[in-house]
Amino acid sequence: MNDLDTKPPETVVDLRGVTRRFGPTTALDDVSLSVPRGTVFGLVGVNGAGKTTLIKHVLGLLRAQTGSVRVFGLDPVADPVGVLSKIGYLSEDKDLPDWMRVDELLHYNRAFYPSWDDRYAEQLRRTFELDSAKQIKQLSRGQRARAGLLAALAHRPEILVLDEPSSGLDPIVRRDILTAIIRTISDEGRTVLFSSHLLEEVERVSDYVAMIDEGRIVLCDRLEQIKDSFHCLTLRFDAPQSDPPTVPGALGWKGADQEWTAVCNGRLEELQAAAAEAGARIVGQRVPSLDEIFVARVGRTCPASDEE
Amino acid sequence: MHRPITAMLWEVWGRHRWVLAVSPVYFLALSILSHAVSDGLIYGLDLSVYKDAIFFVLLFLASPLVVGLIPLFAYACDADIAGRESTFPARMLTLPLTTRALVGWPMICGTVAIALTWLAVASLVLRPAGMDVPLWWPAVFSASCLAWIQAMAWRPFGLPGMRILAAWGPIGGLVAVLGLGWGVRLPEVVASLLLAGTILPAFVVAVVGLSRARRGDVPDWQWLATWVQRVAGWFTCRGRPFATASRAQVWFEWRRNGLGLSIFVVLAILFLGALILVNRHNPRLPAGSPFRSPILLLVVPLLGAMMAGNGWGNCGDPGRGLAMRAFLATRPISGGGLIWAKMKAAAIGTAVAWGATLAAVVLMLLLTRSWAELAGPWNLVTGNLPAAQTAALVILGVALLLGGTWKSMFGNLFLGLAGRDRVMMVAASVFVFAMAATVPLGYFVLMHPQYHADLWSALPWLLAEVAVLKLALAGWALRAIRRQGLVDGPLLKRLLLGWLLAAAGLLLLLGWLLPAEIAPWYLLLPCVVLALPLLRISLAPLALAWNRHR
Repeated sequence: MNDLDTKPPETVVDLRGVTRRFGPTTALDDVSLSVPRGTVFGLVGVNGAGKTTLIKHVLGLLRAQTGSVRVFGLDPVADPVGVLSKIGYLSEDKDLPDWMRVDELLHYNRAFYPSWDDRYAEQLRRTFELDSAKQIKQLSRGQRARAGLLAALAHRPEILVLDEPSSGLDPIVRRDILTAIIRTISDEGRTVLFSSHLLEEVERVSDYVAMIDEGRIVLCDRLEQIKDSFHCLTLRFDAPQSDPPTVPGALGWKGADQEWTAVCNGRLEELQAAAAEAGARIVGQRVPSLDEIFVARVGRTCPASDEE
Repeated sequence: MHRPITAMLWEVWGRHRWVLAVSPVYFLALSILSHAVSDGLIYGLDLSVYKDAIFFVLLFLASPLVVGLIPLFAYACDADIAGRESTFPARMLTLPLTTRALVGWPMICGTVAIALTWLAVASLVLRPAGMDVPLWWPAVFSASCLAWIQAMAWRPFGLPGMRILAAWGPIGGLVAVLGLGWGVRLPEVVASLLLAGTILPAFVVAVVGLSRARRGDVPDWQWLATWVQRVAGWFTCRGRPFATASRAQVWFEWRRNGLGLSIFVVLAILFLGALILVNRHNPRLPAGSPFRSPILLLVVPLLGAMMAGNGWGNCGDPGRGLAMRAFLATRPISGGGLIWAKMKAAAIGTAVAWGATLAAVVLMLLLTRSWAELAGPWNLVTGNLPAAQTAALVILGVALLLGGTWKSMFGNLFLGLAGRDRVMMVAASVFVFAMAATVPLGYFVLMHPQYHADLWSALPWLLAEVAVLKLALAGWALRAIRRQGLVDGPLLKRLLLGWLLAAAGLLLLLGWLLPAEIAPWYLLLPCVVLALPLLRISLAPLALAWNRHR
């Protein structure tokens, strides 16, 4: 039944042709995605793109209407205990029970996970500066996020699923704690799947990135591969151009007259040849940021989270 | 919506429109029931003998119509009433209105609504049944109670739980005003005016309290809170990790639902106990009135269980709907484990509630020296039964009380576990329509004695058919549970075996206690099948899976 008993699969999360509709709205449209073991996998998209819906399918909180979801080779709906015991999850809402104290939250969670590490939990509690005797409802938004993160991490999960983890964390905590934790987990050979609005943050920690838009995966690859295949080119023409130039692989031009800039998808040599054929020469070339690639690919900006 | 009052009323309507829409239908059903029993004498049944009981039942059934308005207008439905913060919706604190207006409009609307509701209930439900209930002072008393509860709810407090304790102060004061009026035989108009006079101080207290809440001035009595937490720590898991996930989940369910039930039971015992002590020598009450006997306390656990049962299956977040919260849904525990924890917590709640109640009854019997009053009912029930059958009857009675309380708590578990508003609405509508249909049907049967013989002979068949239908549906549900692997096979077998043993035991016991000519086996068997919970328990894992994996 469990493939992991014999041979650990390289893919820990595997979605195949998953479609999900809520009434007339298609939240996920034929989504296929594989998250390799030991990687940090970033999901990016605008509000309502389908990131949380996708994560809920991974957790078994939503049942795939078509297609299949496998986590560690198991169906999270058919075997929730088998899947959830290996997952640490921090929800977007940080919906911890308000009435629990921090120490009660830890005691309660500890009972569910045989791999719970008391020393690590205490170390994290001190790092996050959480008072054991305080009730969850007495904590600030940022402290709640830290308490949720602590509960998700202390059993050393095989996969850490974070839905908008930066929400509620101030920039210092975000950089010093979240980033460090994500990298530590990845270094230990465990897997992180996280969604974020903050493309800069995703770019800093991710090995793989999937861009999701209107329920569809529009781009999914290794981050280096993505960065290698996109170029920000500035073209100069001898004469002013009234219309944007036509270069295969270019994703939306900005500029006017003689100078035009675009994020282009393709091999650099081919783009250079195409630019020459269009009557222009490349006067500027750099590797675009993930943010620029996202805007070029999806066609609109990714709104920042509440703190931004 | 050009006026704040319109907007505020619209919000109350919008938030509770289903309940407010169903209430008139419920009220109508009660009114029909009341008129049905108004003749007093129906074909050999002299209902005047049961006057007290009918009054109690009607009052019990009608009380949600009046009491239900209190949380609605105190904005306490989705709020943490035990918390320190005001229950007044935070979003409304930023409205461009004075605090007097914020307090005044819901207070005026609420007090008028609750007073009018009492007048309607008294005039169209209680009085037609022959109960000469007073009209005015209860209406004003309800309004005053609501105003003070609003004042207490909207005021921030220094400690968690303090609001609930503090609210007993003004409520007790209102009861004292009432008792005083009664004692000195004040005219109803004067008593009503006295009670109405307390609404203005309630308004002032509410304005002062909400002003504090509005400027974020929530008192924090940390020194006392630390001490309370230390005491509370004795009863919680602090410092004691759970041995298993199941125990942790039982603790979770107990803290979420059971603790509230225990607090309710204790407060209700205190309130009713005081009422009984006050009424012991009240010449206006008849000698056999239940309101002067400590036995009245026995209704507390059943009442508490029925109230707690409404929320026992709810896995959602207060104020965010019934959908299972992600925190709970992502704990690595099976649906069967979650339901088992709820059932165990319900069993603990039953034990605590009955333990406290029986202790209170014994104490009251000792205080009032009214042991002798028990002899009559005891002899009536046991008659000339031999000792063995008397013991069996006592065991059966205790089992019925405990089992009934437990069943009341998780009987409707599957409705809450489904986590969908529309399921709750359909269930509420079915209940109301079933009641509305049962009353005229029952009345029709009573009015037509020519059908009685046929109906009586058909009764075993009818019961058997319903029992078979129940078993068939339960079988389908159990098969679905097994197929989907929602409950572990061994646990399922243990539950089924337990049910069969309980059914066989109950059947044998009833067969032994009741003469065969009164209760033949073919009547007892379907009754036992229908009495013991099976279908609703079987539906619970399916409902939970439907909620957890949407």
